Amino acid sequence: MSITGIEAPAVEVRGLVRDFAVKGGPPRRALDDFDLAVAPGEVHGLLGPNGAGKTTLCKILSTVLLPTAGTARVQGLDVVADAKRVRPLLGIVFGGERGLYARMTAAQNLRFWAALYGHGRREGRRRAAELLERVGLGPRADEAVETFSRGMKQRLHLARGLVGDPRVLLLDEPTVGMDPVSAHEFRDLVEDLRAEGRAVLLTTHDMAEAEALCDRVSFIDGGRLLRCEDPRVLGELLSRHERVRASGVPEALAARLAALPGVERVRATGPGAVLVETDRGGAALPVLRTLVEAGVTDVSTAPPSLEEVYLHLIGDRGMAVRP
Amino acid sequence: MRGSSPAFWAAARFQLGEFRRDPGTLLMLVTAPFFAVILLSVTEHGGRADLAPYAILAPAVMASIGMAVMEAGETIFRDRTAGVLEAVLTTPAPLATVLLGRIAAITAVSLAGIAECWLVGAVGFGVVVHVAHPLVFALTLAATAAGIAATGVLMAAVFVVGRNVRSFQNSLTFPLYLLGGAMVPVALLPSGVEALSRVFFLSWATDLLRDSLAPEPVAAFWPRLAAVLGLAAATFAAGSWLSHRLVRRVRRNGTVGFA
Ligand SMILES: Nc1ncnc2c1ncn2[C@@H]1O[C@H](COP(=O)(O)OP(=O)(O)OP(=O)(O)O)[C@@H](O)[C@H]1O
Ligand SMILES: [Mg+2]
Repeated sequence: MSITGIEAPAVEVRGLVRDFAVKGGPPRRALDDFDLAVAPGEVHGLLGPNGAGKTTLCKILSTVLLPTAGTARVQGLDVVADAKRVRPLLGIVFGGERGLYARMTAAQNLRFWAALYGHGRREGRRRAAELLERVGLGPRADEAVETFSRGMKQRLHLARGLVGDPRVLLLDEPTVGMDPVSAHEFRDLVEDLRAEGRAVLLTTHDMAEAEALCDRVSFIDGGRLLRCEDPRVLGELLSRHERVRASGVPEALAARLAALPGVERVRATGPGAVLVETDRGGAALPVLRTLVEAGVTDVSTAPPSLEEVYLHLIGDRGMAVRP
Repeated sequence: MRGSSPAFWAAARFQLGEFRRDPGTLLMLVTAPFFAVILLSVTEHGGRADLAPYAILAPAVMASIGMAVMEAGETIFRDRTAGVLEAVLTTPAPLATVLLGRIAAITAVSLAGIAECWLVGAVGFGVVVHVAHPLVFALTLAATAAGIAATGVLMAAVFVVGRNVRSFQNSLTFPLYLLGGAMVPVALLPSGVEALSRVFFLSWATDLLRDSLAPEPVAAFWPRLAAVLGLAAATFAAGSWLSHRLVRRVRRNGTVGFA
């Protein structure tokens, strides 16, 4: 809480810069004059391709990495100057297999981490049991983590992130390795967290996930904030730029597809294989119909890639691959 | 320090679990009795029964400090490879506290080496070493354990920085055995080396331990115990300070994990 009684933003980042030293070369700028604000209770998506700087931002917020310039605050506290007071407020879930003791059981892992957040033994046990239930690992609580599947480890990561009862959660690609059912349960969990008034910063490559979960979505690339949007904008882009993939398509048919209304272009992706990109909602339907009528059965639709959405978001400027 | 004490105990319990999960960490407790056999054979065969306490203490103390230093390195190395070190740094618990908890548990377990070596003497050689001054012995042992744990924390802090440091942890134990007077009382060392050894708590500790076994009264016990404790505290302070500095450096360079 600030002195005026208005709750400080859960996360507030201003002009954040982070350079990494590169052997025999100029430093690499992972974050470049980055700004971000996450309100208390907000679920904020951070969407960006590989190497965009998402993890770097999460690391700076979680106090394990120092910024080169600029400021980052968590509930009004500076992550550098007030790191000690920031840590109890935060829960961090880094994606992947790292960050857990493989030979310990799930429950032992959680109890250990509860203790690092200052909770005594009994409270640690209580939290561990409750959180394992919550992420659906109750029946496997006493099994060693090394016997877990990736998705199960990911759930345990989530439980670990919650063990300190944080006001702000940083989730760095939390659904990596989860099956669609788990990913769906994960969405419910995030809804619960929102309902409990916790702020969530969620990094992902998955646009559908961002659209479904987030109150706002920030687009990051090359360490820069491109846009901060309502996720509906994202949803619109996703449906407007739907793609159709087909194989066994003769050249003449491909030409006919290209002439259909709303078809942006038809790309050959292999012998007889095409990728039809549309730029109007509903344009995929006539494409599908034309293909099926011509006897092509190997057809599928897909949302546009992140790169394409980026192109549409920012126009053709600035998407050159950065060194 | 908010939340320090649960972190200490959790780290200690965790380490005890590690011994069960990976008994290889107890290797030094396996080798210590063999060492005791070798040394006792020499002292007995050489007709120097008066040196039996030396032969029993030396391998036990070496096992203890050796385990603390080796395991401190291993702890950091494994935590860092598993990406756990980074996660620990995001929690409110100070790294030095977590390290101290783990190394304290290692040290407590390593003290079993004394009983092992004593038994080797009693059962294998019929040499029963009496503790002439039990209180002196007990207090010194406790202070020694604290110092060994502090040394482990200091070593672990060094291991936070680099992955290459691991290769020298093994060779590092030998100067510590020497300067700690584990095998040879430091008074017998060249004077320059002895002077250096006096800033290492272990040199005071091993002298006191040996004195506590001998029937002669122990001279200047309290000041010497104070030296052990003071130097142990200084070692922990140095380890704590260094871990703080190194963590900061690692945060600046962005190399906490291996990524
Ligand atoms: N410790 C480091 N040393 C040097 N460069 C680094 C370091 N950590 C990150 N980088 C660089 O910073 C940039 C941003 O990396 P970051 O991990 O933040 O990306 P990301 O958005 O999380 O990517 P991904 O989606 O692949 O997880 C990359 O170019 C990366 O190579
Ligand atoms: Mg990342």
